[in-house]
Amino acid sequence: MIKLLIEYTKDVESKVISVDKKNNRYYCRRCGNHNQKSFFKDQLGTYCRNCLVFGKSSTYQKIWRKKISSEFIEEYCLKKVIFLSDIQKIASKRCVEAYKLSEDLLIYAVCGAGKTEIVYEVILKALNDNKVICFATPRKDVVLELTPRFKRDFYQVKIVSLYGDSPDKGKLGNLYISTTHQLINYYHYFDLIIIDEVDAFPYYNNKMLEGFVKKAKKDNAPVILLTATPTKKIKYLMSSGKLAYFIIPSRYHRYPIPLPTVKLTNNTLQKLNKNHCPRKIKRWLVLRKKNKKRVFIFVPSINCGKLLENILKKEFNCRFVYAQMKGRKKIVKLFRENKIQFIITTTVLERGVTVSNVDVCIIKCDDVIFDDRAIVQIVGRAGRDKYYPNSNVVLFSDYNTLAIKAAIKQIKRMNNIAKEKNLLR
Amino acid sequence: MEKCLLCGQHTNNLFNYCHIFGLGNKLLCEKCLILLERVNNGCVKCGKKTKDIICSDCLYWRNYNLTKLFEIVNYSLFYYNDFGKEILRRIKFSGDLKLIYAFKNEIRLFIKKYRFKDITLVPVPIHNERLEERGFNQSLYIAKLFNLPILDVLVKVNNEKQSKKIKAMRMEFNNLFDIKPGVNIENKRVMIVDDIYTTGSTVHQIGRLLYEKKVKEILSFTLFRS
Ligand SMILES: [Zn+2]
Ligand SMILES: [Zn+2]
Ligand SMILES: [Zn+2]
Repeated sequence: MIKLLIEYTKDVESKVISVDKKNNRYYCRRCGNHNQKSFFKDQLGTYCRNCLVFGKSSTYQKIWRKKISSEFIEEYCLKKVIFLSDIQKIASKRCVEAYKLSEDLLIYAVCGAGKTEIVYEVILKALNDNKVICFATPRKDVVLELTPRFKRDFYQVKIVSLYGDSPDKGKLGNLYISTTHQLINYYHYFDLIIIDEVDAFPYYNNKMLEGFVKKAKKDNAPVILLTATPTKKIKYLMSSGKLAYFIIPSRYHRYPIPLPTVKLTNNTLQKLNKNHCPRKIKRWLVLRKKNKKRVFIFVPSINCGKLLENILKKEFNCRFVYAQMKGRKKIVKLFRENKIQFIITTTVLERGVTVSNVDVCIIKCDDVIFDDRAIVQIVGRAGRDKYYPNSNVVLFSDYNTLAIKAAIKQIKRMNNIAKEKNLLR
Repeated sequence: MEKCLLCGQHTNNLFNYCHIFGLGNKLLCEKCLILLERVNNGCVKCGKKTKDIICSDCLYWRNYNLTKLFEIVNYSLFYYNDFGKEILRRIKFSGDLKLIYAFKNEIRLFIKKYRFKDITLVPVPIHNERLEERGFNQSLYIAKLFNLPILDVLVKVNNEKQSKKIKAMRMEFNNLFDIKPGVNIENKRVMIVDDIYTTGSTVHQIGRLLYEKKVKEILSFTLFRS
């Protein structure tokens, strides 16, 4: 017996061939792939290589579109009152409006604006209309972080948490918090999809994942997109009027975003290779050590991070973390608990990690990995706490890059809009 | 531009250049090729990494009463390191047949090196259930890369998940295979083809069947030697 691939739906139940032919060209019903180069012939038929990680999809396999329907209770509410700033309230209303009109909407909110709370109202509204909602994000970390938070804030909502090895797979709920990858298992199912960090890897520029969202939602279901650093493509959609948007230029605590200063260093990499920390960087770090302030040190590569950790560890309480590293979470936890003063990291911590009262620096900011959006995200780590809204943010760079200029321009622009609209203290 | 079959990165231009002279491998990039560890200076009979001339596995088969009457010389291309495991996982468990073609050039070079003549290839079969899951028999497709005659004459009779069993168990004979009736392979030089050689149990079980059919010589070929 050939295993059936399962997709959950609200449509009429059906079984369809997974890879089919149309006008003599193959296409994959599972991932939407049309590229003939991604299809390959094997002994029993033809399969799609594009979505292999999700299980083999082929001409000799069928998708079982299984009808499921969740139960709803009379009325949903929050467990506690969530306080929103004025601008958050307006954004929140815009989301509800977009949902009512079945229109897509982009919320462009600076790092620390409190994006998540903005969608609470629309989620409640949809739940009370007995609609199934998906809060999707490209990153598993976000799913793991938001699931307990939503469970804490929403009363009696059945929340399903979906990621690669999630125990919730196949469970029935009202609100799904999912990685964009896991949407492959849904077909015309959701009435509202909210996508957090649309610009983050791997969603950004990934046609397959965009296709999953389209497939998972009902045809007329609206999509609300959240981002702090829109990509060129999103900016184009905004400026051309193809996507309605709302900008939140200020943080929830109404202090401006710290402006980074650029400090030029010479031959940073060569010096690190010779086990030597550039003088300006060293001086800056020594001052942080004296003031007992925690510091995020961003580096462009694993190699660079290891070198720096080696040089600094004699004098500074520092640890290096990177994406593939075991025990990464533990070190971040120690940093949060103030047991490590300096955390050296690759761009893996560029998003999501919020620690209060930190200073931030980027080493070798001229590296191509630090594009304007990455720099804005990293600067966004600073000054998140309303009690410590000021941080010292330094970009150590061998030279000024276009990305640095663009990032600073962007931050200044947002601070200016916030000031003009009287959104700052 | 070609992309590396294993990592999806663009293959190095330098390497494509080498390929013109028959030295390189345009289906694999330089980085991936380095991660594959070639079988070299191992056991003379099976290639296993050992300090002895003949490894303990081979000595076992040499003394075992069902296999001592014939000899099998095994050729494997690579050792089964972490990268090898990952490749085989993607081929067998994800069912990505295309990756097998990454070894096309390696196999062509192998044939050139040993100048095999009048060889008939006998791929190791898989159970029908596996075939339906995977979509292909990997051994058959490895054999197809040789451009030599293939006799797909074996059948698997018992679906026991071999890879899940412990090594000691695998040394024993379970009659997992059979030869289709009415096949004449008398006096032929045959080469058993499989994806991996672990203890030699599969190859020797099949070897015994072939020996009973009075073949002239038995060789075996696998992509990996664990
Ligand atoms: Zn596909
Ligand atoms: Zn490669
Ligand atoms: Zn041996």
